[in-house]
Amino acid sequence: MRTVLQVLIIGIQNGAILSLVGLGLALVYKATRILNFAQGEMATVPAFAAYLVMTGFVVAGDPVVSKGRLWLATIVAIVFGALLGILVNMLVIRRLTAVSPVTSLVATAAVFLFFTSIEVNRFEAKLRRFPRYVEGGFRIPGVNITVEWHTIVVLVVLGGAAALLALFFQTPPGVALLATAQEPFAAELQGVPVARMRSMAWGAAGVLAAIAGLLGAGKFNNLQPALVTTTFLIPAFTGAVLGGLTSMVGAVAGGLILGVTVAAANQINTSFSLGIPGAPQLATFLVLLLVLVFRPSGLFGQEA
Amino acid sequence: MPVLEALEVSIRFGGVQALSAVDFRVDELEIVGILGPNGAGKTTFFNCVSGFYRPDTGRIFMHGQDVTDLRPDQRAQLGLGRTFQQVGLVRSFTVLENLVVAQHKSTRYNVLAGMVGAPASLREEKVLRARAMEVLDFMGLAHLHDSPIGGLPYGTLKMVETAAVLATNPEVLMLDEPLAGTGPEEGLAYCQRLKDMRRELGISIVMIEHHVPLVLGTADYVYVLNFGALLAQGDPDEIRDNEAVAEAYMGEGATSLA
Amino acid sequence: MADTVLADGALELEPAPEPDAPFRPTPRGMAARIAVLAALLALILAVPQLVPAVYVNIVTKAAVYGLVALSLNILLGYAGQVSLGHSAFFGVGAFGAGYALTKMQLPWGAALLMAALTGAVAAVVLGAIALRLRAVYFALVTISYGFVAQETLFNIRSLTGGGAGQPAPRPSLFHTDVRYAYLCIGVLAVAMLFDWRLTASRGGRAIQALRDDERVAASWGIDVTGYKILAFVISGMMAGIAGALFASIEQVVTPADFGFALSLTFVLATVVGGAGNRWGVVQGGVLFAVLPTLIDRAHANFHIWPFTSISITLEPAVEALLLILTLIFFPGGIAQQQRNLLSWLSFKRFRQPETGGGPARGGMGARP
Repeated sequence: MRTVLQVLIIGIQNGAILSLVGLGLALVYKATRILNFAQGEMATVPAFAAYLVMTGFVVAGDPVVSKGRLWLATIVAIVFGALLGILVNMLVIRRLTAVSPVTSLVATAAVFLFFTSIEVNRFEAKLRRFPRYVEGGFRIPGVNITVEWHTIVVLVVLGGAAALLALFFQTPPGVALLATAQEPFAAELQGVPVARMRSMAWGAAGVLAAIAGLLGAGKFNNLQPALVTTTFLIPAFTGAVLGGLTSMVGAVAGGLILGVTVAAANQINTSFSLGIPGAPQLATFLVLLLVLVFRPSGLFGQEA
Repeated sequence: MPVLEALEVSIRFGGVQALSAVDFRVDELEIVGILGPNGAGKTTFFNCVSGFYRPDTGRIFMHGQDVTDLRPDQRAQLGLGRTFQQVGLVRSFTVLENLVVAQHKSTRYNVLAGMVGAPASLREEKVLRARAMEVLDFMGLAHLHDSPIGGLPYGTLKMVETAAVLATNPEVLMLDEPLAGTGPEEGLAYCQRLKDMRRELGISIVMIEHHVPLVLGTADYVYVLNFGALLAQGDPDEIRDNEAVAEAYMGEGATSLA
Repeated sequence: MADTVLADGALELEPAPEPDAPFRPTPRGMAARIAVLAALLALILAVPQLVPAVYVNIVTKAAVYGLVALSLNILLGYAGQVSLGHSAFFGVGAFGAGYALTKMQLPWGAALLMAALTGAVAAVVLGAIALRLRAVYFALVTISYGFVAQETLFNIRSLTGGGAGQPAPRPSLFHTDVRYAYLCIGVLAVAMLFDWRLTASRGGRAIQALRDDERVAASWGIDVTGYKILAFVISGMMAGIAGALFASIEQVVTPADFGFALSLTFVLATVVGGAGNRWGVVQGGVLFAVLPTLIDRAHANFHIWPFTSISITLEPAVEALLLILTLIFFPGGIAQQQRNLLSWLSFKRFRQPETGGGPARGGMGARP
């Protein structure tokens, strides 16, 4: 029982960030039918922007990170994230000669590569300190793992964002946005400003990504180039697919479930001394495969 | 023995019964027409017969052999050829290349021999090309053999598609709206060509069409579908004067298609 | 009735124009083409000897990347399947060869066959999955597959030596850098020949047909499933062989060599080169293999902007920009830009009439 609780706690701690990234992925997909491989970098780059604000733009060595400027840095990061999302859409996605789902995946993968490279160039491939909003945690009697306040923060943000988005898609502007994704030509004929709505969607995804970056870096207490993509992106995609790529609630549920599944896989690996290397990647791959083969629409999604 | 036969074919999509117990038969050297308003299930029927859909009930037979469990490419191997509503061609190839690929099933050398360039495969390639040019000649398209599919007008593409299907050496040719986008003169010429094909090549033809007078003037036998069920069947004169068919097409009170 | 039935059965609505007689270059044109081809061939053969010794391994790597691009082209360009996990097949081949050479003590040729086999198997697994998924979901699965290959498969110590890596010695006959470079160039040439025969025969045609429209291919009697799997098998074999060649460049391979960044590089190389065109993708592979060195040397030696600010850490950014520029402005990649030259070199007209064929054309053996 204690192990189960431990696995649950670790799983949710990881899954919460996964869900946050996955929520952004689901938002972009729902609004534009594009799989945004750059979502991870749309998270990491604003995190670096926040870092710069907190170190007073000092990069060399191991600069002092002033927690006093955390809230200012947060605002900067969020604005930066929104702008980044809008820019990616404007400069890359809109210009593609053939916007097929696969082409956009490859194009956003190139965007990921581009930003990662710049991050390494400017910030070197090393770990940098990054603060949390709330430190410390509490213990559940009998369990060895500390439940961190940071995780609670993430879960609250997650719940709020998902609820907001789910509600938004029920409102007239939200429905209009859905129309631009599912029937762009018809939506345009109805007078829906397709291009502007898409920009808004990307901007919102950028905001979500920035928040995910800040909280993700906070979780590890450090930041490095490509952090969000290498640690979280494929699991986030898997979680979003599991939940149903067009469902906001699904993205949250999927991410959390995947987090717990991976934690369970690790636990099984150690408890039974299976010694399987890369258990998290294997578990993620198997979940993705099972979902796509047996239930492509995911748990809460409405289309295959 | 009928060349092609369908018995009690039914299929349901979600809440819609797209086909209900449709019976159908094509005899040797027959031209059979399938008529019916939009949404009657004609193309769905084609898809069931050619193997792209699996009917809920019913069996399909070719020359008496039950092919219901066979894949589309297996039915093609047995002599079934079909065209598609949106022109069915390989878009990135030229006209000639399409006709060569279409002969895939009658190509004798195996894949491995082709990959290493065995002399037998090289010889056969020449034969394939020559035969492709023959078919193009037959259709009056030889001058376009090097044109990529991409730039050609719709009417020409439909003819290329017919040429490609002919190159597959079918016994039964299923044409899905072959006259779409053609004017009355072209349509008439095409139907005359179908009759010549039937005679010259010894094939049977099934055509879905909306152009009622042309079908009634060309076919030996006609089936009329409406809302997924067989509304009427018979030779063209019977269908022309069939009140139910006239109503289905032209509304209440119509008594004849003439 | 306007049409007539001619004696031999041909129908005409109106007299059809005579098909163009096939184009034959003038004797001078022939001579010019042959001269240029010979010069190019001589140049390629001379490169391993011409470059400074420290760069010979880069030449070898370029040949290997060209081979990988060729293999990925079979999936991406011919079969229309996006594989963003190609480093899995590449790595499986590399470790397969390493295992055969060190643990099984097999001769180098046998190790190469082992690499081809393991590469094919790794590809068939993915191919079987591809049959059931839509293209974009399949692309996601390939990424995940690549991660599993790197983290799980390549870390199984007994098979691959784990993090310490697997040694992969060169064949004794081609032991020096220069000789090994020639070996790899030779393998690439053979592969291109094979690729040419593939597209000129029914197997390659069937694979390309099902890229454009599976239903049409099936209606022409093509076994869609079978040929999709065939595409994966051939691609996997080629990638596996490339992996084996790669392993013996540095003569040791570790799991870290085969990550997602490499898979992405391969895809970028193929797309920038021009998916569907073998000469294009090979050039793409070569370009991306030498790009890091090019940038590094330019940064060190050219003291003007932009070379001064573009250090080697920015090389991936350059790759990414090349891809995005290709997708936006030059959809057919390098091959599309070179189409007139390539056409001329294959003994056809220099400028083909613009007929609107799509950029990523597979075509058959008649064109390069």
